[in-house]
Amino acid sequence: MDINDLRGFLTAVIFFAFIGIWIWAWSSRRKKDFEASAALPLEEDKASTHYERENI
Amino acid sequence: MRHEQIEKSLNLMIVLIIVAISIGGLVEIIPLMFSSDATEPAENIEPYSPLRLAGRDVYVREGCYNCHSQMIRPFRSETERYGPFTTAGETVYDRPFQFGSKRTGPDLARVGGRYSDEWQRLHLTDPRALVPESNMPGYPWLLENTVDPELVTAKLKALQWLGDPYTDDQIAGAAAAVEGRTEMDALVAYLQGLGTNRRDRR
Amino acid sequence: MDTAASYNDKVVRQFSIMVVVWGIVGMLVGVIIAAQLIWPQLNFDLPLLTYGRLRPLHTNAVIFAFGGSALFATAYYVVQRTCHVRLAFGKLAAFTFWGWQLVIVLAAITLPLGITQSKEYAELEWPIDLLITVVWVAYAIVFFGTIAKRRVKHIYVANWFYGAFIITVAVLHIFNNLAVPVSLLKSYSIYTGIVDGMMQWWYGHNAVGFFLTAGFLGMMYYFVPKQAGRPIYSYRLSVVHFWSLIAIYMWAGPHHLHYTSLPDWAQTLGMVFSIVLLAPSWGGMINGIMTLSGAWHKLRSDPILKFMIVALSFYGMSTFEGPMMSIKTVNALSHYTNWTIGHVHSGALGWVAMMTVGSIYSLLPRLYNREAMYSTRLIDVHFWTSTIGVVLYAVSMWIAGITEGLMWRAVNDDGTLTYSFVESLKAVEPYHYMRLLGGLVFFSGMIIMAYNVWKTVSDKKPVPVAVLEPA
Repeated sequence: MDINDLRGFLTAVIFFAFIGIWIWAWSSRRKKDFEASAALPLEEDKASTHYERENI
Repeated sequence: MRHEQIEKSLNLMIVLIIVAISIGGLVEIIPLMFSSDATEPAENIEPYSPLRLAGRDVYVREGCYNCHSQMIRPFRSETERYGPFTTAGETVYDRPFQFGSKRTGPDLARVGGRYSDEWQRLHLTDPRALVPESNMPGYPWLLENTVDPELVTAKLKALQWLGDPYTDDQIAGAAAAVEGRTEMDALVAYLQGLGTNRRDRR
Repeated sequence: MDTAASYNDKVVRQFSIMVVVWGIVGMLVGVIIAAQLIWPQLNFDLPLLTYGRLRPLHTNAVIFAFGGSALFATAYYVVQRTCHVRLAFGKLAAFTFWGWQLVIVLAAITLPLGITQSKEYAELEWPIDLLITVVWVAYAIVFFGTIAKRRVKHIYVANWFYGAFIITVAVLHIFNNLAVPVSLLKSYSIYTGIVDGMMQWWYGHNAVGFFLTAGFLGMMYYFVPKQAGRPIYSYRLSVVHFWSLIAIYMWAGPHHLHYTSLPDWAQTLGMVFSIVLLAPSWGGMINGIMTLSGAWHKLRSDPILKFMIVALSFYGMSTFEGPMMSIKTVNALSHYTNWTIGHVHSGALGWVAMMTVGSIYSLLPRLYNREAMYSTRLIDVHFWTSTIGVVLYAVSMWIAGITEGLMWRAVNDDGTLTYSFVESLKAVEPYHYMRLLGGLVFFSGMIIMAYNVWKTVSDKKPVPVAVLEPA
């Protein structure tokens, strides 16, 4: 095996990894998890406004 | 159980990130390290003499690479202006490399012998005395600073340890070779040797 | 309040304030060196003030002091808020602040003294490199330690970007800086010539890709949804573009060495992956901009959102320009010219600085127990100075770069060169003025920011914020 076989093999691995991530991300089972994750940065503002309101 | 899973996914994330970022570097850098084209010296290329090495380190210290490249690309317009294009074998004793990434001033890869020592000295002291349009800073302090012989000896030893083919005799004679020389002498010696390995240069 | 029940915002406040301080310092040095290129007399024949020593000071100050402080501040803030837990290892976090400030001060002392490895953005000599390594490992322990003790199931995508940035910068820093010390202040790289060059640009390009991109995408993925009041447009897209981005960036380094003596196969790999990189980069830009769609009306009243949308636009612009410049035939013209400088600044000012500024304006009131910054009007003024400044900068450098590139390659009918080198230098002088003006305008915005920040924080005593129970 010379280095070019290795390069070809690596290209295939990367390609399939990419397709794999794509399938994983778009599978319907992920949807709920992703929605929960996407809500994380907004929870704080929804929960409360802890700021004092004296200074506005 | 739940906590275990959490830990697991963090560790998995870290491992996958390391895998993802490693491939590119490994594929591009490792073969290069074992390529003779990249690591064997070209004809007439030898480790820097003690004075030129000191001069090179002045070049590094003053940040000359911020404005001057040392890498002539294989285009007619570049070989016409600067001389034969640079090969990898010409840079194998360069620690670190000085290819540069911006030409505010011209390329210096083959500037050696283009101007007289006296021109270089004057130009480095007061660039606009010789090139009125130039925006290069002056380096008058190089005329006063002297090269530290002990440091040069230590440098050669470190380079020998790294595998550059300096002989013990060269190291023993290094201090004497730079004794009493100014940094200007050293820098001019460095510049005057740049690219002179090729006879067909302009 | 029980400290475990509140967030550790002290270290976030410290880093946030230093963002403004180092931003001003770094950009001031940038303005000075831009002026030196027009009036070389400003080098004053003094070693400490010459361009060759100040330019690395400028790049290190804006990247590692300004950008670095912003990344520390926001990573520490975001990881606490999205994990619903107090920052792990409080003392270690405090150490990262003081350690990082020490690195910056040592850089500000050693670089003007000419103590340098001369590898771009990796100029600092080995003792400082060791200190950076220690601080960085502490950063990783604090950051990942916080994620490890999180109270929600998921790791929010912003933390993926911050995490990848922290890990990769550690790897890059260590391998590129391997050197043998000669004295306390001088070392020699273990690599030579073209291998050293490849190593450096593997590092250099990924300093851009991870320090200035992945880290700031982490910032974007938290502060854009936050400021727009909407979740990220497509979480799926963020997953795909995250893995693509971090994997592909690592291959792109050789485009800094096109037509050099680097072997052709490596140059070609660098070019191909640089072009492919457009896709994941634009994935991030689209995700950010689409998050704002539907919130367009907020742009009228919220200059912070304006900072973010323009930052994303410049991100999209410069990640299109970058792949284009890495095509070998384009690079043949653009390399070594001011075009590269323009490209870097449309990324560094347009994307990095504007995203930082927007995020800091969004963050500071929360850190100092206020409803909003002292003056929204001044944020708007700052927004316009930034936008005008970066446009002047980028346009002037495009024209200058293309002018130089064309003049250098121009040949007469008889095959001789049309222009001497110094003629090309004279030709770009007007654009040096225009660039200086652009830089000054951008810099003036930072002064306005400093005033606004001062008025926001000086009379407010921060109060601890309770850790939010997970939803």
